[in-house]
Amino acid sequence: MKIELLFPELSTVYGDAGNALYLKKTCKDAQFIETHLQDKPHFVSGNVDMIYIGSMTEKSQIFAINALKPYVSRIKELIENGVVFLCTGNSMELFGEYIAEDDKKVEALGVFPFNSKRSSEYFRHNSMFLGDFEDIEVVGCRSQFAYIYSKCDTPFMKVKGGIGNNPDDKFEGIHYKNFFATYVLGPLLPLNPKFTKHILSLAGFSGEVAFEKEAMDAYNLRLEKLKEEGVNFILGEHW
Amino acid sequence: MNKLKFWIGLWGGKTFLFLWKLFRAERDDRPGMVSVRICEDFLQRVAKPKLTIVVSGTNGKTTISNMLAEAFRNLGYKVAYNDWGANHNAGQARCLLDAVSVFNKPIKDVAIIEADELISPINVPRLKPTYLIVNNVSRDSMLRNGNPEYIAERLRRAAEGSPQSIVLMCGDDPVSSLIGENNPRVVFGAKYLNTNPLKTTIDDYPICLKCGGKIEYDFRNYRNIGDYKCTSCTFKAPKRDYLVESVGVNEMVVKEEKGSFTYPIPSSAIHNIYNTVAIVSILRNIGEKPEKIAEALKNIKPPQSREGSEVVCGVNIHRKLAKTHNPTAVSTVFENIKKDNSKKLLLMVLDEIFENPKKSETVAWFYDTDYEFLQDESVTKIVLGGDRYLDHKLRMLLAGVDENKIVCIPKHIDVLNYVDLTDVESVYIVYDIYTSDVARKVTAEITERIRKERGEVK
Repeated sequence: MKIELLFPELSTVYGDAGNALYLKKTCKDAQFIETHLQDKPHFVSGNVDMIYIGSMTEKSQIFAINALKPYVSRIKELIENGVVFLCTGNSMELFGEYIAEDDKKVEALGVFPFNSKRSSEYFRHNSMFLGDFEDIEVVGCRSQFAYIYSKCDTPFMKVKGGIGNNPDDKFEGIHYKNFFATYVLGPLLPLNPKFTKHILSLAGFSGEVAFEKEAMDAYNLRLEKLKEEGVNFILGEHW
Repeated sequence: MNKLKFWIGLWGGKTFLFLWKLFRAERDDRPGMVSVRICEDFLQRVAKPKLTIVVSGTNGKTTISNMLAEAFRNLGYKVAYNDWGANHNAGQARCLLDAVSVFNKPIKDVAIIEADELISPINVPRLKPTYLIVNNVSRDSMLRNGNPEYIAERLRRAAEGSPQSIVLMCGDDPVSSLIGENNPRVVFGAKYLNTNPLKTTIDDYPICLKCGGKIEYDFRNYRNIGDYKCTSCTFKAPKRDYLVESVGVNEMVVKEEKGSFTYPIPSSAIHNIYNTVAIVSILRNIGEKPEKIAEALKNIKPPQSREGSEVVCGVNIHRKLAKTHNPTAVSTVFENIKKDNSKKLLLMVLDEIFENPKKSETVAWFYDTDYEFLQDESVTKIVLGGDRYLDHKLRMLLAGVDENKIVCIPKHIDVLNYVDLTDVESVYIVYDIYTSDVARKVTAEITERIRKERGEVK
C-alpha cells in the first residue's frame, strides 16, 4: 500500500498533521511518500493508493495550486480510477474552479465545478461539526475564512450539527468516487476511527486502526456530548 | 459634532478616572470605555505624548511593556501605562486618559500601549505611534488567531496604516520580518545562545512566504527564531541593528554600530533575552546612553510570573502555565520538562472550564503540540484530568508515551488520587489560566504529601 502525503510542510496550522500521524501508526506496513512543494508529486508517474492533503494558510494555497496545476489531468484520471483522496480543511478549495477574495480571483485546479469565497477582512468561522456519511457519524471541528457557495451535486456528508459548505447549506464537503473533501479540519482521522476504517478499506487496508479502543472511547464520548440537548455548535465568527 | 463628542468623551473619561482613583480602583479599563463609547475615534483625536510606543505581537507584550515602563521611570520619564495587560480600545483609551490634561495636552513624556494583534490594523493607524514593537508572531489559539501568517498580515496592515512609525522588530523571527517593510525599521536579534532547542513535530516556518522556496536555518535559538534564509530567493534574516552576542548568568552583551555594551538581564530564559534586547534597542534608538540603560534595567523583573518552583524535602515542585489552544506555549512547557533529566511525575489539569463545555471541544491543537516530548524514560507517570481526557490519552499514545505511565480522568481534582511519589525527584503541575485554582489546590496537597511521606512535619 502506498500513501502519498502532499505538502506535509504546509499542513501544519490546524492540527491536520494528526491525520498523517494516524495513517502512519495504523498502516505500519504501508509506504509513505512525503511530497514537498519543490518536489514533483509521486502520483504523476507512479501509482498510489491514497493521497492526503490538509489545511494550510491562504498564501500556501496559492503555492499548492501552482505546484499542482501542471498535473490536473493526472489528478482527474486518478480520481476516475478510484484512487482514494482525502482533503481536509481549506485544501478542499484547491480543487474548485477559483477562490474569490472580494473582486479578486485565484484560479484553482478546476477539478470540480465549485468556487469558494472569502472577504479581505478575513472573517473567520469556528464551529463544531456532526454529520452523516452513509451509516457513519462523523465528528470534528471547523475554523475557516471562506465558504463554498456553489451547489455541490456530490456532497460528502449530511449536516446534523454545525454548518455545511456555507451557513445555509445542509450538506458538507465533496464525495465523488473515492475522492473525499471536507472543511472539517485537524485530526479528522484519529477523531473518527469508524470513518478511518472505511476510507482505508477503500485503499486496500484491512485491520484495526491504531489504538482502536482508545480512539473509539473518545469518539463515543464526543458523539454523546455533541448529541446533548442545547449544544451550541457555533463557536464564533470574528476577525 | 465630532469635536464636541471628543470633548465630552475626554471629560467623561477623566471624571470616571478621577472617581475610580478616589475609590482606589484605578486599574480598570472602564474610564477608557466611557471615552470610546462617547467618541468612536477617541484614540485618533486624543493627544499623544511625544514618545508613544505600541507593543504588539504574539508573546511577550505584557512583559516588554511592563519592563519598558519601569525602565523609562528609572530613567526619569513620566510614563502612562496600564500594567494589567489592557490591550483593546478601552484599555488603550484608559492609558491615554492618564497621559493628557483636561485640555487635551500631553502631561506625560511617554505612553506605552499594548495592542492586541487582531485590532492592530484599526488602532495603530489611529494611534500613529512613534514606535511599533513586534517581538514575534507565532502560532496561537486557532479559534481566535487563525494562523501566524494571518496575524502577520494584520500587523503588516497596522504598520502600513502608520507609515511614519518606526517598526522595532525581531529579525530572528521570519514571520515578523515581513511587517513594516516600507516603514523605518530597527531590528534586533541574537546570535546562537547555546539553547539546544529540541526538534519539534511541526516546523513553524517551513517555506519562504515570498516565493514558497525551502527555508534553511544556520541556527535556531528556539522554534522558528534564529538565522534563516530562503534557498530559492533573496529572502533572509535582515541585518540586526542590535544583536545579543553572549549571555551570562545576570547579563548580556549587545553589539551595535557604536560597539558592544553589557546590560543586566532579569532572567536567562531565552524569551526574556529577546524581551530585554527589544527594550535595550528602543532605549538606545531614542539616544539613551548604554550605562544609563544598564542602570535603569538593574533590579527590573518580568511581571509576576504564573509559574513557580520550590524544593520540598528534596523534591522539586514546578508549576507551569501552559495556555491550552496555544500549541507553541504547551510545547514549550513540554520541552522544558523533557530537558529536565530528574525522575518526574507530571500532573496536568489542562482543559478550559467554561459554562458551556462545548466551547473547549476543539482538540485540533493537540496535534500541533509536541506530546512526543513526554515520551521520556525520566517521566515516571502522567496523570491528566479534564473533559478531553480521552483525547489527551489517544494523543499521548500516538506520541509513543508508554500506556502504563498514563492515567487520564475526567475531573481535574481527581489527579490527586493517582499520585505516586516513589523515587520521584520532581513534580510538574501543568495547568491552564482557567484551571489555576485547581492547580493551586493540587500543589498544596502534593506539598503536604511530600512532607508527610519524606519525614518532614509542617
